[in-house]
Amino acid sequence: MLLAGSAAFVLASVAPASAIVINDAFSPFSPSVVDVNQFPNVLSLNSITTEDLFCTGTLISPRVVVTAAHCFFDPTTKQRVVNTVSVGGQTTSNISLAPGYVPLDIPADLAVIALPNAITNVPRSALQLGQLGGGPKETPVPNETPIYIVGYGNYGTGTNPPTPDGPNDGQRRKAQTNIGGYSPQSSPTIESQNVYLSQFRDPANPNRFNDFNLSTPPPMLQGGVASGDSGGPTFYCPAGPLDKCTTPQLVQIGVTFGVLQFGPKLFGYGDVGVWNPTALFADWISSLGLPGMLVASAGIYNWSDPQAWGNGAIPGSQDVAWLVKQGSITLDTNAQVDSLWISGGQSQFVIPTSLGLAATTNTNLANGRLVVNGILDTPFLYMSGGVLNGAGMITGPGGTWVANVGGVVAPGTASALGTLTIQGNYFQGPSGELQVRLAGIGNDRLTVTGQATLGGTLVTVLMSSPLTRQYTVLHADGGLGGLLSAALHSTCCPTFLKLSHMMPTTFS
Amino acid sequence: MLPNFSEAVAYDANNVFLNFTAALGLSGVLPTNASNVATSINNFFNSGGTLTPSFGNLFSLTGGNLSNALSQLSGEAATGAQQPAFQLTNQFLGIMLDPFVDGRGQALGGSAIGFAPERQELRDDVALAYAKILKEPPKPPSFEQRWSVWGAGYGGSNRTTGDTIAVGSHDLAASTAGGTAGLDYRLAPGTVVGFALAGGGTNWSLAQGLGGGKSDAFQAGVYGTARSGPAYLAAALAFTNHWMSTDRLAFAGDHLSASFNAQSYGGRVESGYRFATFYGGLTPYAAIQSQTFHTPSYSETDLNGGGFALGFNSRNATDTRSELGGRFDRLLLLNPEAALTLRARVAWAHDWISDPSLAPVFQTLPGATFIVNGATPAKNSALTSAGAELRLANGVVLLAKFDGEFASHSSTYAGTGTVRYTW
Repeated sequence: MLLAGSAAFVLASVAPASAIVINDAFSPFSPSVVDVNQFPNVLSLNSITTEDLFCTGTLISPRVVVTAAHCFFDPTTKQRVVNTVSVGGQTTSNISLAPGYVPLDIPADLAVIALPNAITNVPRSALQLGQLGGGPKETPVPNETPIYIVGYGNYGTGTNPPTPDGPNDGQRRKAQTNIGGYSPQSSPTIESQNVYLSQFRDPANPNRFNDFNLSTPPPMLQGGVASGDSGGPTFYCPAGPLDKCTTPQLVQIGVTFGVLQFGPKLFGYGDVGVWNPTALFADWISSLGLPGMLVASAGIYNWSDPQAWGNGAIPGSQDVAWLVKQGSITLDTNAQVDSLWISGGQSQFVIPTSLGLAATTNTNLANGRLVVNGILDTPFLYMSGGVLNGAGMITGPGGTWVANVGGVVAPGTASALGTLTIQGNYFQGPSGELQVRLAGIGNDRLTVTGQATLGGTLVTVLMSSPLTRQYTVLHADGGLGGLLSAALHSTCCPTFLKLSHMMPTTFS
Repeated sequence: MLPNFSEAVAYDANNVFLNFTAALGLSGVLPTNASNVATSINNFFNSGGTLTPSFGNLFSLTGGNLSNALSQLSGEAATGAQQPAFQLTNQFLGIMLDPFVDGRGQALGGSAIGFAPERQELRDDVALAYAKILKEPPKPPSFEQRWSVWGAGYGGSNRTTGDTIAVGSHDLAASTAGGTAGLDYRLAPGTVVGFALAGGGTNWSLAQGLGGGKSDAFQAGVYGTARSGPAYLAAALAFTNHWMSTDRLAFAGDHLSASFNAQSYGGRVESGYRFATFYGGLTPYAAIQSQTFHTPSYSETDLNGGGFALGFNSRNATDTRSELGGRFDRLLLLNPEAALTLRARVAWAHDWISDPSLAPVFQTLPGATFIVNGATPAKNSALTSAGAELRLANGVVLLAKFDGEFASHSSTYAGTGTVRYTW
């Protein structure tokens, strides 16, 4: 394995310094590198004593920032040296380190910071959640996937990278790269934990540093991380090319650890960036009782039953309503939340007919089941897993976007065939499924008012023998394809949806 | 999962379709009948028709189960109607005309029997026999004996072997029975005309529980014979009306029946010439017999709503038969009050007969028509008969006769009993 060799191993953080290292074709001060406004949800972590920046973090909910655990430790002594941080204009000591973290080791290098006040005026990206409580916990984003890296760390270029001490101007910078690997690491307490890896390649010489044998050429904005980027995010776009996603449509999949030196210069070309996957820590985050993250109790409850929620408070407009435990929550009144997350394999959320839930930032379905018979009003429904059922409507301001990367969209209800309507656009990735039942002359149907970009699998469930020649399983007013790049469209459609069958008894 | 469909995902600018192509039975080799049914269903579906759920259930079947179900759907039972219908008319014509049945105006020449008015033409041997046995010669029928009345009962059964492997037709068992009465009038010496009325019925069934049918029949006929010395010419016409019904069980226990009226029209012309020998009479003969069996357009009634009822178009089936053969007779004397004649026949018959093929349509699938073939009837048969006639001095004649028709894949056994009184 790439990381098992004699490569120099260097942490890219801790010292109160700062950002992204860009390839030689760009100046670190290029407007396309210095991020003025694309990622306001990426925050700098500052020492309250010196006001110096020392790490980067990402707002994952109105009151929670995720960063790296090692940011709070002295790289030399490995002692906890930071207990209070200034972030987003607020000061807090509510810091939780991931369980099993051993200072300066790679595994579990993740921490969450709770803010005293909600930050609601910035767009937030979705967070990759694990498929908790059943099903495969890890469904990593595949190699070659383009990703953004963002941070406040030291700046430089591939040939002339910064040192751990600088330079740093406190600017937030962004770069792009591609996932090169998803590989296990170990520590004294954690035998094996996977991390995302990506090598800083030279666009002018793509194969000079291509230890992961990627076929994707290095992107124009190819870059790497350096000191100060620690704790920062890496984002991917569920639709593939990064320019197909706005910030609220991106998904954070990792937290920056640092680099492994593979190149001639630390932080320069050839070094391999390391990210802890957020999906592996979602279970733990949900268990912390963080402010503004309301986790549903185990059992079957109506939404407005105080017992339905762990701390007795019904989720409000600045809260994340999070279903992790075994059970079901049924909406019994119209409600509004910041976001709705479902990540438990035995978790179910039901919006009955004639009721609506507004999830103003996003809805995140990683596992379990979401039944929309009424209206779900959310700008972005991200499905890394789970099952979406119902005969209702998903809409959003100006239209929603449903990105089914690894889940199952199965219109209809358990008791009847039905049509699920997406008022907006629908994307189905190579691992996504559209599942419809056919019964005689009727069938489940997905109706999209915008465009449908389709990959993955069409699963048909024959409740009885087909009685007619043609069944319309999906209709898109805005047409098929087109949402994504032409290349993806042209490669998707000749083979398009693969077809597979499922016995009726396994309808889910 | 879907053994009898192929499917594909298809698209247009705005829609994703799942398209199915029916391929019922295409994965294996089916007999023609089953294949024809499958093809009609496939064509109906693939042309955009909507199947009923009953037909949908067929698509889960494979192999022998599918083949059996398709056989049941084919309505082959209806093809069996013509066999006993032809058989019944054949027997009726035979009873009216068969010169075996003596006394109908001294068929074959009174010389053969000795009761002929042409008493002077009795052969010496016969005359001697009468002289020995009878106290006095039986009163010869005088020309004044213009009338005779007769009654007969008849019945028969046929078994025709189907071809279950290639055609998918099944063994057919058909039977007939009837009773008839007639009246003769002698116009002139050697010329007799008559008519007969009959009531009877048919019954048929197919092997493997594929159903069958039956009919109540009314028959009417006219006949006439003319002879000149040892030569004779005979002709008969017959009409039959069948009150017919069919009954069968289709796939999934669907009980289907139909009732309709069918008609048969038939005619027979026969001519022969008798040679007297020491052992008896030998009469080479030739006959032509033609029949039409008409069934109307009719529809099956679906008794339990299974959805597989068929509709049938009207149809005329024909059977033209030629016969070449010989008749034998030998007189035995029993006592002064009675005479017994033994008779036999051997002939070759060739039938130009309609194949029992129908083109039904599924009532619930408009346009879904197909061809179903019944067991192929015999084209060449050996006809054999054996009979005995007992003539009593009081003018009563009793006759019993047994017939057999033997062909490749088909055999028929029939029997007739007749009583005649002449005055």
